[in-house]
Amino acid sequence: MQRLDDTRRWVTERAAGIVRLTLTCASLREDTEGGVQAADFDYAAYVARELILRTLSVASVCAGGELELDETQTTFDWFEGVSDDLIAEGSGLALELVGQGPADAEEWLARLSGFVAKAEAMLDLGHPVPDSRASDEMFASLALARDWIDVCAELGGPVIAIAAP
Amino acid sequence: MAESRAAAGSQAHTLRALGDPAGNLAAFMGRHGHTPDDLLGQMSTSLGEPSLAVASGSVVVGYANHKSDVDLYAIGDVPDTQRVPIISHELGPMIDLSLIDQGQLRQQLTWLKESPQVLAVGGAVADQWRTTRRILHRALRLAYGVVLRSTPEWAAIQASLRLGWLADKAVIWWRLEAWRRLVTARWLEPVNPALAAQLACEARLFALKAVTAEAGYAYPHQKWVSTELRAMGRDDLLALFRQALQAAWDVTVPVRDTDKVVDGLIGSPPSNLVVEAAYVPGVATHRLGDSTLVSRWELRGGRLDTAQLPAVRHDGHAIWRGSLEETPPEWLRQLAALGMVWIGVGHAAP
Repeated sequence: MQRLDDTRRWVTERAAGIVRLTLTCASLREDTEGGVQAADFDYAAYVARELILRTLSVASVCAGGELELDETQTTFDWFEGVSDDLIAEGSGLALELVGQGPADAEEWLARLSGFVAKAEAMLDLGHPVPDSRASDEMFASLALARDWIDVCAELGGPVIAIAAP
Repeated sequence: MAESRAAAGSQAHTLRALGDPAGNLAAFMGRHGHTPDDLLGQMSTSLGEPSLAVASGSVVVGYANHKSDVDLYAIGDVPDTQRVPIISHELGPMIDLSLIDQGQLRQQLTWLKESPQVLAVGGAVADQWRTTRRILHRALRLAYGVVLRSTPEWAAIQASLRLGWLADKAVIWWRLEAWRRLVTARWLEPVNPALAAQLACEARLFALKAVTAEAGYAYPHQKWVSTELRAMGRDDLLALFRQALQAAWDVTVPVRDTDKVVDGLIGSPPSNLVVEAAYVPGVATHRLGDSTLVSRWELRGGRLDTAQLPAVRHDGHAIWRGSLEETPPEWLRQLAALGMVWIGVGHAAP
């Protein structure tokens, strides 16, 4: 059994985190992988910074951070509540792409996946979030997001704020 | 990559793409065993014949990588799908089809062209910004598009988008975006240097995008800015681009360094610019003695050392206006640090 101090906040955090991972992060991962594989490290560094910030925001929302990710809001804090270690890991990955790019691109991509998985694990779902880019997992990822958003709505959570990042 | 003019224009800011858009589209469709004409078949016959059918997107502009898709726009007497395209895989590559109501689009383009300012202050700060961005980006995508079918009226409207005035507005838009980041970075530097560093990085990147747009590379997505700088042969600016991405993670780089870089790229801001701050949705305030409790969605918040906060207004209008150089009042800096305000930069009315 798991005791929860504030069920509405706990469910809203997870719903927000799932939406961020399945929508925004998925397409940015595709862009980053495309850039790295094409050895266009300038493009890859641009999109990877955005991906890494969004990944940190998943860790942030699980640590009391902002629930509504509005990327047009310049005051949105990607880092609130995130551990220094995870921020250092993210910035290290981002900086490796700038300029010449990493010595071993595939190894860098594997470390990026590990970084995203760490933030995902903070949602404490007990299973990985399905990959919304994979045709065989797309519907499972949508169903997962819908399930959590439904419960969030039942608890009176701010569904409008988290459903459209 | 060869650089060419996407269309002839009479003013300075002629739209530029990599390669010829029609050729880019034909080559992309050819790789999937199709022709651009096959795209017309993607538009359901039940919608009737569109007044304007345009293929656009990074593929057409020549920026595509192997994961890129084609954006198809059908303009006519159709329900407007707004931000949510209909996705089709039928032709092999991914096609995003957006339906646009022609009456609404005609109005939007007239408004865009005739507005004296790209972004005027007053009104709901964030909503006004979003509306302007949506219309400006939509117009730019159509301007870059390859026309697949059109009535004479819409052929003329589409051609008018390439005459320079639209690119001029795009240049101003990216400059405003750079200054908006810079102002927020200055405000947050003393209280959240990590976030200020990211904003300073973005101020530099948006200023670079304003430079590429000024050279005609006005396609509305800043993620291609390095591709555009390379096409311009500007290795010096590519070096600035990489410095910006490094500075994003370096809290020891003061924001005033970014002031200088941005000034060097886009010049000083005009004197009629105004900074606006509005509460974000979901904010509530509660007086607690000499302090005020500020919460958002009743799920996150903070306590401010003041009993004098502006009342919450639900219309999204500004609770504070000032100049770019102005130091914000302490209560506003605290609200910004808590992420409770949306900050905008626009032109004062003449």
